[in-house]
Parts: sequence; structure tokens; C-alpha cells
Amino acid sequence: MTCEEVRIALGAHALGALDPEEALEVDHHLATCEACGAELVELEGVGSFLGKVSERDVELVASPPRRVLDRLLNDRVKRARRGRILMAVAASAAVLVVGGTVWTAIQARSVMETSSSAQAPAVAQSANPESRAQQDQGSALVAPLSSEEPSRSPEARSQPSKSPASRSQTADKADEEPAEKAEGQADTAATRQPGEGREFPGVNKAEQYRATVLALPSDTGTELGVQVGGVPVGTVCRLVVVAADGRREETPTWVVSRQSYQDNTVFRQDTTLALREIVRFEVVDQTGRLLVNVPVPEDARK
Amino acid sequence: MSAADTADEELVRTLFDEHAGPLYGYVLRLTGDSGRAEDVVQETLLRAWRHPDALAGRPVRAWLFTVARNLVVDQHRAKKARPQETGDEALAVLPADDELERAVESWAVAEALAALRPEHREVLLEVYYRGRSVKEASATLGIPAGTVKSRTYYALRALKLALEERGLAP
Repeated sequence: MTCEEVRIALGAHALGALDPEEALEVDHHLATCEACGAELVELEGVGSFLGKVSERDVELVASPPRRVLDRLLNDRVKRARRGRILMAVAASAAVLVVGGTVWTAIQARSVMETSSSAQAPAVAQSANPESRAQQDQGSALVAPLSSEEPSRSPEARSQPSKSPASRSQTADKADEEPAEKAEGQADTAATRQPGEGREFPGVNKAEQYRATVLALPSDTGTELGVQVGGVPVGTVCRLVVVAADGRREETPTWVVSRQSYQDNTVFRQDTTLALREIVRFEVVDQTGRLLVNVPVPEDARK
Repeated sequence: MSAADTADEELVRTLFDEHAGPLYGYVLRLTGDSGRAEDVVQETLLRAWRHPDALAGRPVRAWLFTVARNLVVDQHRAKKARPQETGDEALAVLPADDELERAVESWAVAEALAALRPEHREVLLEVYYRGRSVKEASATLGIPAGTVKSRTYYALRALKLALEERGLAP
């Protein structure tokens, strides 16, 4: 046998697949040929890796489920966009259900601030930097799987006196560090760009009703998202948008339901008034009785 | 779609293409359940996507396997008792023990084999995993015995390269 013939057979030989006669011939050649011997050792070294895996392992590696990729791409899109969707309130549906942290975090914060601002008439102002931070963090303030939500929000809500640090930890443990960032930015956010979304909290202390209005300038006026808290289930609500010049616009009504509390439903509304014209929002009931007054601070109208 | 979105999508696809196979194999072996394995792979790759900084300067594969393993452990605990929350950071610093290192290695071997040209992989499956002789493989594959021999030779040569690419020197 020539070296060339032997070489080509060495792979099968290394794996013990040659028939006995041929194996003998090859071994005979190897006894006197160092180069071919070295090659066999090398191929046996490669062959020894084969024992580390099974045929099934190779199949698994070759065909990871594509739907995982599809889900990843979907999830990525959702996570990247959810914040933006919330701020843009872009859905055409009348009710925007947001089961995510974003809104819950806002709400928890609003509760905290409104309760801590009993002596200070700065309810709205105190939340302003956060709406700015919220906007900036649009994509970072992503919601984790909504299934994580129910266990978290009641805690955040029931402990309004928790320190911001510990609360943010709770809220973001499973996800990113949005609240931390948001709060960090809140300290420094002195200026705001025009045209970005804003969040305004309001509270009716006597009744313990709360409302948060999310406002985003649009081509036709302002897109609004409204969330209420403490208002009895079954209440028919309406938002009255009040402009500086006295104009008032009323939105269609919505009904507060147990479900809307559970889902943290944000009621989607529109007004033709521009954000800079708006001095306050009033959440009123069917009869026009004021439930919650939501002031818009002056700096939001610049 | 913005440039950032496109770059994001690229990253997700790259993570999937480069790691989903071995990761899925590893997790499936741990869980024995394809549905759960898919969930764990998805969550693991998602974390990698969200924490590119956590991946910088460390062996990506070992990090992914560690995260996946801990997700499996957490799932297991969650089934028995109340789930324990574990942050990504905690997961990432868990030392890679021998078992994990071995797993990373063998799945890299499987990956190297999967990366071979089909005819090379096929001949190794016949000759090594199914224990067929050159003659038997020739009959099964419908190719001359000489071709089985040469393919086996080139398959092992190609495998050597594929292993070396993955840092596994025979």
C-alpha cells in the first residue's frame, strides 16, 4: 500500500470501520511509516470527541426550534415599543389596556407623591420630572411578562411610604433598572422639550379618588390616557379638558370596572385642544360632579 | 423600521443562530420537556440581548449555559415551593463548575458535528454512531466503499477544524 492509499483509509481505521484484512494491511504500513502513524494519532484524537455526544445531540443542535426565534423577535419588538405605545397612546381602540410595569410604576409613584404632598401644593410639579424621565425611558421602562404584574402592583400600591429606592428595586427586580434611572434623571431634569408626552396626577383627598392623565401632543390636538384609582366600581366617568381661555371639551364616557382596576386599564381619549392650552383636566361623573381635578402646571404649557 | 430596530433584530438573530442550538440541546437534556426548554432558551437569549454588557469579556456560551441552568433550577424550585427571585447579576457570577464546563464542551462538539457538510456528518453517523463497517456504510449510503473511506477521512479533518474554531483542540 502506498502512503496515499493508507492516508485515505486512516479515517475509517481510526474509527475501527475497516474490514480485518484491510486493517491488517494498513497496520503493516504504519509499522514502518512514521508520517502515516502520526496522522492516525491525530485522527484518533479527533475521533475521541465523537464519544462526548450522541447522534440525537447533533440533531438537537442542528435544529433549534424556530418559533423561539419568532417569539424572541416578537418579544423584542414588544419590549422595545411598549413604552412608546403607552406614551403615544397610538392604539385606535377606545380603551388601551396596559398590563405592564410602566403604568403601574407611574401610578405607584403618583400615589406616593400625592400622599406625601399633603402640606405642599406641589402635587403636579413633583411628578413633572418623572413624566420627563418616563418619556426618556420609553424603551427602557419596558414591562416584564404581564403575568408578573399582579403580584407586584398591589405591593407597590399598598406601601406608598416605601422609599423610592426600595420601591424601584421591587418594581424592577425582574427586569431592567428603569425606575432607578428614571429617578436619577428626575433629579436633573430641569428642562423639557416641547412636544413630548407628559403625565399629570390629581387627587381628591376628601374622597380618596385619584387620577392620572397622560398627555401627548398630536397633529389634531392632544392624545390622552386616563387612569383612575379609588373611584367606585360602576362609576361612569368623563374627562373634561379645560383650556386657559375657558374652552371646555368633554370626552366620551367610560365605566370604571373591577376589571379595569385589575388590568390597570388606561382609558384612551382625545381632545382637539393643544397641550399648551390646557390648564387642567377634570374627571367628572355622569351628572357632571367633579371626581378628581388634575391640574396642568404652567411649565407644561410652554 | 429604524436603524436601531434593525440592529436589534440583527443581534437577536445572531444570538439565536450562534447559540440557540447548543443551548436548546443542553436545556432539553436538563428539563426533558421541549416546551419548557423552549421557554428557558427564549428567556436566556432575551437576557443576553438585554444585557450585552454582561456578555462583554466573558465566554458567552458559559454565561448562557449558567443563566439557562439557573432558570431551570428556579423553575424546579418554583414547582415545589414559592419561586425565589434571582436577579440576572446573581446568575451571572455563579461559578462555572466542572459539570457546566463539560456541558459547554460537549455541546460545542455536537455543534461542530452539526456544522459539518451533510455528507461528512452522515458518514460519521453511520461509521461511528451506528457502528457500521465501511462495507455496511457503503450499502446503506449507496456509495462506493472507497468513497466511504475518503469521506470519513475528510470528515474527521473537517471536524478537527470545526473543533479548533470552537477552542477545542484535539
